Amino acid sequence: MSPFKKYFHRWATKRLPRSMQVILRHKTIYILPGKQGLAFLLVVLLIWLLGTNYQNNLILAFSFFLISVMLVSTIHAFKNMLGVTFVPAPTQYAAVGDVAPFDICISSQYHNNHHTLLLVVDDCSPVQTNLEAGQPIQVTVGLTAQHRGWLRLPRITVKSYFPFGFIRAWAYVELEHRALIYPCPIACEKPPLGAGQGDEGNYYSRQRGDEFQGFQTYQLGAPLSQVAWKQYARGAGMHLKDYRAQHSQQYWLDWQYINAPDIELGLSHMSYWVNQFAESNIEFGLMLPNIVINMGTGDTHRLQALTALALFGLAVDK
Amino acid sequence: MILLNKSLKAEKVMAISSPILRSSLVWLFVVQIFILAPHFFNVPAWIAVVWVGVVFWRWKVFQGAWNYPNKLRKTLVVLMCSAGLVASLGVNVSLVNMVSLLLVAFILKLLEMKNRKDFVLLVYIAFFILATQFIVFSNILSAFYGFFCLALLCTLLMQLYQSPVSYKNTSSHKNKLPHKNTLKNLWASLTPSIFILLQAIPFMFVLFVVMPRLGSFWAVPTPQHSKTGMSDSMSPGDISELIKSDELAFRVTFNGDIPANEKLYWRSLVFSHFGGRRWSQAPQQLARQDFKTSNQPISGWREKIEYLGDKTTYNIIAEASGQPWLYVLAAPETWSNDLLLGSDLHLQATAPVTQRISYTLTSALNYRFEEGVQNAIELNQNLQLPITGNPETRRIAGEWFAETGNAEKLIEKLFHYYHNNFSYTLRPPSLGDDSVDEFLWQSRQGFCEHFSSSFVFFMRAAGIPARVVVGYQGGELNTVENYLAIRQRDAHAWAEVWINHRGWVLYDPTSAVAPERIRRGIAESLNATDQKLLSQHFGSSLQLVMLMRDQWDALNFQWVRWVMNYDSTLQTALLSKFLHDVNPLRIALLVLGAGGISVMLTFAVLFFCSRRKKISALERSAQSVYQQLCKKLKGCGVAPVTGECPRHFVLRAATVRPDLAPLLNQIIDLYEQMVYAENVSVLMDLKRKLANFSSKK
Repeated sequence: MSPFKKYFHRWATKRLPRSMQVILRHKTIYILPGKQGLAFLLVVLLIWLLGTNYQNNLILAFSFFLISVMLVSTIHAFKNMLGVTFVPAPTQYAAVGDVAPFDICISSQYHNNHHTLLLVVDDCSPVQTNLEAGQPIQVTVGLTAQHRGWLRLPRITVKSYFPFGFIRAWAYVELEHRALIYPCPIACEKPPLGAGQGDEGNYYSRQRGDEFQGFQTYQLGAPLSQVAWKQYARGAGMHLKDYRAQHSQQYWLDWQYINAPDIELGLSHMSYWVNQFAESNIEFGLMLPNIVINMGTGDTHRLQALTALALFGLAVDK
Repeated sequence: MILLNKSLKAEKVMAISSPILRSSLVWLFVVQIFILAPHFFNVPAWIAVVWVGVVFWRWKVFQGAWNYPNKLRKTLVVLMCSAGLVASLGVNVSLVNMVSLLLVAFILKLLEMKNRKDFVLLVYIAFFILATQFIVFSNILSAFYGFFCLALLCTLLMQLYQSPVSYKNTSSHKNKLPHKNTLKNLWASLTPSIFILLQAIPFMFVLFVVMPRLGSFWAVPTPQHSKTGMSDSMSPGDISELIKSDELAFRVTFNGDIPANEKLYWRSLVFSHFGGRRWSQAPQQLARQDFKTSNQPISGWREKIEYLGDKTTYNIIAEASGQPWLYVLAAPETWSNDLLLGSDLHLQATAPVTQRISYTLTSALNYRFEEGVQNAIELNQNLQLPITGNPETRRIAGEWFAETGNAEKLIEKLFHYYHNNFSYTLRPPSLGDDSVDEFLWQSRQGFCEHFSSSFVFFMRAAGIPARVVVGYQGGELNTVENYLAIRQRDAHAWAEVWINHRGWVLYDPTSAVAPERIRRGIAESLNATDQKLLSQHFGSSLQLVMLMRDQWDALNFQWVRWVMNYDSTLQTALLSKFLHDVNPLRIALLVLGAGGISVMLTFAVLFFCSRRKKISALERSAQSVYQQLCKKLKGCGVAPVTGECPRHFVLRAATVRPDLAPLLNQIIDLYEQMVYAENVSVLMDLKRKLANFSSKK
């Protein structure tokens, strides 16, 4: 990065501190001709030369017209960015090595369309989105998670070449947004269980509880294999078949029984078993040196456990 | 709280290297038709065939049926097109060649267009090609056509950067109706493009007025213009052909009153040499040393012009004729500096007029021009006759001159003879070898070239110097803008006779036969059958149509006068009118001021079109209530976290301050009733409770 760019970035950051909501305003939108704009200026110059050499006012007027169009398009480029509001959506989770999704709600303060906004984060592949009048949307920016703990969303560059590509309008968005990165699950033979728990093989076989309990109303995101298709075909609407574990078994995943050369691997094993038990609907608790998470099932419980693993041994910010 | 549109709209980015969409491709083909069309008036027609072939090929490539041409094929195609260009146009640097080359490159580039970058490049070339069409077509209609084409091109560009139209109602049929969606997308890009172009007009106008006009940097090939109007010689039938055309020759505006029609003899050329059938310029008339510019010190033949009576100043905008000679009323005193005046008082440009030009002259319609007193060569030239031919005329001329004794009386007698025995017609019988004899003594029917030709021959045969003058006579008054339009149909030929002590005197033998031709114009002087030979305007008998035609012509005239002929002289005049003192600072201020105003106007329009989102009264009061509550709870050290719903926040606050819990519960219940059940009646209650609420212990 050139010194000028560095200086510019520092200056831009100062103007726009990290916050929970970023609204693009005249202070934060930057506008300059892009590469295509410079090429366009060259074409206009050629046309102007043509008009001057032929002493043809119509051609000259045409070149002036093109320049004016470029000028007016800067206003439209600015308007296209103005009032776009970025708000972080609830925190998401990902394992180390996976792509951590950052959901961002984008809305507008004005009642107009915002075309082709490009969201660029570092060197990830950019995300393109269109914002229609009066319809807030949610986009997901994916970042590869490298380390356990909180992953902060770096600065997003929002770019737009609307309307004709001559003008590049951009803004920096510093959102107070983070994702929780839990240790990458690494399988190991035995779960770290305290003495007297668990019969051999029991926790493997149960992919999900096999006792049919009844129907639940369908919820978005539920696995399709659980949908009661017969009922759906009868026109009864989408329902989920509810299975429960036959025996209410409880396991304590205990840090003491982890048999691993280093902490990270141990956490990875723990993370593996948390996921295993959670997917099998087995009730489990988690015992770490600094925290004890009581018995429970369900997604919230699982996330609680994963959070504890993710933040284990790290300075907790906030 | 915000209801999010559930569908995630993030799409993979259309990078600059991404392929071209179907709609963009089809649209590009359509736009190419419009961009190329005007050029086919000039360039060889086979280029159109190349275009069709290339489009077909590119479409097959898009469908995946064919491949992009490989290097060998590309080279072959380029070679074939180059060969075609050389074969049909030859190897020289002319405008047509240049444009044809550009067009072929533009068309062939389609075969190389693989990604968006190429696409944009193609559009940029199209901008340039669009500009080149104005070299040839520069009237007001072509300006509108250019605007239309520009809107299409901008639409092409905008399509790349605009969100596709959402298919709210047709989403389930999305795959079935791609054409319909393509059209919808086009329309969605076309209207904003036109909107932006319209917004750009005021600023273009300012730039047009203010930007300094420079001279040509280097010589450029000029458009080849077919020769129209007066040719460099005259034989019987030439002018009667010319007057069948309704084409505009030039327009004149006078500073002051327009002189009477019979005084408007617009000279183009003077013919002193007669070859037996054809009149042409004598060699010494072509000699350059006799030509004078207006700012040369008055010497030589110019000293012999004596200006009598009032002078009239007029501006002529001459259409391109492909010939150097122009139009002038005798006798000019001053004329634009870049033009030359011959000693026979004909005006010409230094090169053939291939583009419309404007020039200003001052002439005295009453003058005395005695050139020739000391110039025996010139007088001899104007007595020149072929050695043989037309014996009857030569004999009678001698007899009549002996009879009358002087030139003026002889002319009077001849005019009398014309008046009594001749008829004026566009369809004279064809004449044999002794054309003057046959015309004067047998057929006695003819047009102005017959009369002037026979008259000058007769004078010379009688020993009096005379010459033929060709040009235009009269003109059609445009009542809207008060200028004269002179068309080819006003072409005329007359004569000048050298009379001792009076110099060159204008005589128009046609006036002896058809005086209404001179006074009221060609259409009035012909009989009904002849009039049919003149090109008739559609509905020329209808008053309204004629008025509209006048309006249209006036509009074109304004266009030419203010747009096409706007040069540095006009610019200085106009700017000094507005700015009083023209200096760079003031011009810069004018540009900035006008630019600023147009930018602000555009902005105002944009904001007017997209007001802030409408918020219902209920939402607004709910927001204010919630903000008040947050403010009050700040006192106990609780602040809402983003994404936290009001109830959650209030319950959190209640755990911090259990003493306030009952009241907080009531407030949040009321609040939710109001917001979610849209129950406005609880608002008063809620406000009252909030007023009583205090976080102080």
